[in-house]
Amino acid sequence: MDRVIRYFKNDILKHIIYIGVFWILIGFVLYPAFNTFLSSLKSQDGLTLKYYKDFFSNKNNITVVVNTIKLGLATVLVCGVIGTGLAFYVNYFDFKYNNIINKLLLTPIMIPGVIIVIAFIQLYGESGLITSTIELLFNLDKHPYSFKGFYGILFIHAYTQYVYFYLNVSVSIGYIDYSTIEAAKNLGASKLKIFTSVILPTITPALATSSILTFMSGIGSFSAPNLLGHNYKVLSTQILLAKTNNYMEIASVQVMILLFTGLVFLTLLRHYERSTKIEMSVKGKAIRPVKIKDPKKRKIYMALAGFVILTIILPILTIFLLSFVKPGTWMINIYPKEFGFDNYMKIFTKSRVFAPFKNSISMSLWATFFSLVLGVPCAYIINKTKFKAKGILELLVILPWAMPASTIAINMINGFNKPNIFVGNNILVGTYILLPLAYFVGIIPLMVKTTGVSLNNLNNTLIDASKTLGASWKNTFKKIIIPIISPGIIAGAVLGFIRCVGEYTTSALLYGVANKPISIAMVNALYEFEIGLSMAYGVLIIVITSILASLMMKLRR
Amino acid sequence: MGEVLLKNIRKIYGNKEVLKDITLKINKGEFFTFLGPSGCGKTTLLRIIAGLEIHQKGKVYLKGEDISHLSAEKRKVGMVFQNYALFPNMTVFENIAYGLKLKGVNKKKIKNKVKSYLNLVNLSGYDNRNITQLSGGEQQRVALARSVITEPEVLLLDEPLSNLDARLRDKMRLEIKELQKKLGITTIFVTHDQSEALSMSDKIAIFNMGNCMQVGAPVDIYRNPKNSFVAKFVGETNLYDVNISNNDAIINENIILKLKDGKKGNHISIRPQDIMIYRKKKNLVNEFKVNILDIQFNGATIEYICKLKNIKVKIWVLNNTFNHNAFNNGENVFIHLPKESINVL
Ligand SMILES: Nc1ncnc2c1ncn2[C@@H]1O[C@H](COP(=O)(O)OP(=O)(O)O)[C@@H](O)[C@H]1O
Ligand SMILES: [Mg+2]
Repeated sequence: MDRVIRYFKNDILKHIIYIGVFWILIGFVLYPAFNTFLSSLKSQDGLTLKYYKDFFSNKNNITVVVNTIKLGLATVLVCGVIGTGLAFYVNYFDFKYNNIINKLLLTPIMIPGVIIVIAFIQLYGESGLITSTIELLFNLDKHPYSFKGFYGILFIHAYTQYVYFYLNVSVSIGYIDYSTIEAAKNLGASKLKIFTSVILPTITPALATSSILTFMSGIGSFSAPNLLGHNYKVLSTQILLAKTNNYMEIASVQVMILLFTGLVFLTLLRHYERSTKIEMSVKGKAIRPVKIKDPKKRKIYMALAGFVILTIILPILTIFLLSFVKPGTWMINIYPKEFGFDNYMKIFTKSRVFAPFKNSISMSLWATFFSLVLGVPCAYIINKTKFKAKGILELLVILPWAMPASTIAINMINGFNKPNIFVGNNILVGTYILLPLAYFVGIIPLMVKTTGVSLNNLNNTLIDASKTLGASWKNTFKKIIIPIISPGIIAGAVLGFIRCVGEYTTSALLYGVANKPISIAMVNALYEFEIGLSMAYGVLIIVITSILASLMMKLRR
Repeated sequence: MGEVLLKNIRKIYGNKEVLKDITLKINKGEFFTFLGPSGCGKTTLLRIIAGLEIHQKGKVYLKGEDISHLSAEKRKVGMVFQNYALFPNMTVFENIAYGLKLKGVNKKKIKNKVKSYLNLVNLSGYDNRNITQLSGGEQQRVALARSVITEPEVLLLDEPLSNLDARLRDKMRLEIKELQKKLGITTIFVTHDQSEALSMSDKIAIFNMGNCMQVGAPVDIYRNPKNSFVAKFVGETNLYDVNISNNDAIINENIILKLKDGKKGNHISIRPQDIMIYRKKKNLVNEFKVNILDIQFNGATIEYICKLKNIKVKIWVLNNTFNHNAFNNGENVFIHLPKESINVL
């Protein structure tokens, strides 16, 4: 009888969890997306394709779509070259600073994009520090280059988005079987031939995956086009415009087109990825980093390393430096002269200035909390159970990954601007919680994935072993399950929090007076020429994210 | 240390009956082996004894007490898993100490006891190693120490040697056996390897498709298999379908073998080493002229495959100074199948 009751209880709990998980995913991911789809088709007299027809009959709109795709492709190309090059540079040559360079190369993921954009404007913009310095040095009376429009955006994308290629290619270089290179050499193959016949096939899957990720972030990118796009208009900025003017049908149409573009590219590459998937041979000899012996080549290599380090450090240094500029003292001079803690004092003493910081922290905590509540059970169901509808669950969970941030924001508006049964018939548009919920939707895939990896480390026999050694369920949970899976869960939570705390795109579309986040405050300060304040906000975010990131690294070991 | 009694155990997964009415008695201090091909239900039965799997029918007794309703952590049953299941978040010391800590044993006692058990499994000085730094054999020993340190009534070992390479396997066979003797613990050992079972066990239970086919001492099972499955699975044998009438076993209607009186069955089995092979006809009962099809040299033995009418007979001869190079391929020779060596099944 006792056993029957236990069984029954377990079963009820299981069903409650299943229903809860689907309720949340359908309510916050699928239903809002579906509403956007409907909104792009619905007029007073039923369903219509009118908005699409209107959209495509306007030449400007076509330009916007072309611009978006062009930017996506160019981003893939530039980041592919830079990221792959850097991956080989770090992993192929034996050099004692490689470890530091590797860590530095990963920093751009830790810094929210909008901060980098602002730092770049301070460096390379019309009155930027680098721009002015060049003018001064060469006595120019014209700007040496124009850091805006397509190339400006692309420059920033190159800096912030090479990481996907860098990471994936680095991993796949580890799969290159050195003995096949030796065999090819033995057969008299040229260096080019070795590259195309041995190395390229091994890294192709990594290139394909990175291309998908980079294209998605390229077409969805918002802060760069918004802050320095000028006449170069892309879908994500047009979505904000349409939304601001309250043309929700148009915003919805644009979202659908953005989504469609991403999905087409994704399907094409997935298809290509499948057809080129090579069987990894039995792991042979791992590639050994090559020592550079020629002193001339060594010097070139070192110079390159110096350049890479400088390029990466410069924007971060700029952010820190400018955060100490006294308010109102840097208007006409080329270089700032007066420094102090005024900006930080202002943030921590004036509640109006402090509010955005507080908002971002608390909204990111909410989003992280939601993602834990949903992500851990989802990861468990996907990785550890034989649940029949697992496939559907997996699909729902990765869906937000295919949606650029602006898409998620518009979906949230369309889903929650009328009473919604999934949240007890409430209207959430205009409330504080809408923005954290949007953040939450954006980090669902990340959370489920990292948690899933650590759940897979938890072999069921470990639980059995603990039981046979006399541990109660509670003890097993405390001493075995939690210690094994928590590093992964914490990593997911930290990464999720980092993504939310400086988030700009959904914020720009969804924030209100009650929940203005730090990224918006930064941009506003910039427009009000309070560059120091803007940068001080940035420093706070960077400090928080890097503390969290290093804590996470410690735990992972 | 206690004896284990399994009474009419049945286990069903979905609509598949994985264990069909198993009744077994494992005596105090015995080294008892479950032997059977993969998928026959050995692990499942072991897990039922450990309390990790719920069975539909039957009872498990330990020291005469019904423990069927007890959950795993209350059973006093130690188990070594096929993949060892060492906790990756703990050191060697912490793994072994885990069970004692849960029992609330004081720190100093734990320390001393872990030390002595590390010594027992030849791992002195390994206290602070990480699990990932251990070889397969070392992991195995940690798992052993961890499962016996709490002094359970029974020790369950699920194919503990299957993940080791051949050389190490032989070594660990001895070590496990030695440890079991030293502790005198009732042990149930699961394996699909008949030579492992024969060499280590006091008693073996042979399983096939959820049934227990035979229980007995290794010699017993080897010499007197109860049915054709056991005969084939334990050791190598010549197995033939026969019709029996008047103490004659007839194979393929043209080979007639004389049997001892009163044997009944449909098969006969005769071990390769029980058959005599020689050149000169001796006019014995069950003597046949055969042709040598193939000779295989196996080190200590030589194997002859002979053709007798339309059946094949396998014969092993000890490879000593006298038998060495005795017969040639293609040669016609005589073989003798002694009545008393023929098992009727
Ligand atoms: N959890 C399970 N669900 C369904 N079938 C199972 C499960 N565990 C084992 N089985 C089935 O039970 C049978 C016996 O398995 P097992 O006890 O592991 O065999 P052995 O250890 O002898 O190889 C196999 O056919 C296996 O497929
Ligand atoms: Mg098994």
